[in-house]
Amino acid sequence: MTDRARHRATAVVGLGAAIGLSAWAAATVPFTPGADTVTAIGIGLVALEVAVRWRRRVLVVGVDPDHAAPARWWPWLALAAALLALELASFFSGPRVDHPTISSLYDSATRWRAVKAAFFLGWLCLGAALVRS
Amino acid sequence: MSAQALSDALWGMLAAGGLAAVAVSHLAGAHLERISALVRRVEANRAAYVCVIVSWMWVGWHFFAR
Repeated sequence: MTDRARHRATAVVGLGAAIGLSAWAAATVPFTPGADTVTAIGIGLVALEVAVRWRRRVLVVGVDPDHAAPARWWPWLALAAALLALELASFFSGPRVDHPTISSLYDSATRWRAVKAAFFLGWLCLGAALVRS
Repeated sequence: MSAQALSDALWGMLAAGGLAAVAVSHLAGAHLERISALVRRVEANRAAYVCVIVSWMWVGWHFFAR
């Protein structure tokens, strides 16, 4: 089996496992052993990958060929600051129905299992991307 | 305008701003750094890398388990 084929097979198996875990997570309720277990499995898999890659981690921080001109990063900081400010303002205001936080928006959205499964899958994919970046 | 409508509008504007920034950063010749490049630069420091991974873990635990 070539490296490329092995890489593709690993990606397919990983995606299948992530979809399975997401379906399981969507069926759980927070503050129950099932929710703890499925979340811990996701965290454990990423922690394992971090440990495996730790020694051979080589970071290449180069210039993006699509960005010949110096790219600005401060708009991201401004967005993050605005998000934090709105979250804090909402958190310390009430009632929650008038001032929703990210958590309460998430709770509203995940009344549907498919949405919760999509969030969980997105979280797992983000973790995998962070480890492989 | 009610407080609820104002909150919804602000969250919507932030979401739209984030999506627009992602789209702009992927345009050829854009002056906005891509999130992936930004994360790679932050993660060049091992301590920052651990902070990013631990933050990811906390987000998952907060939203899905607790």
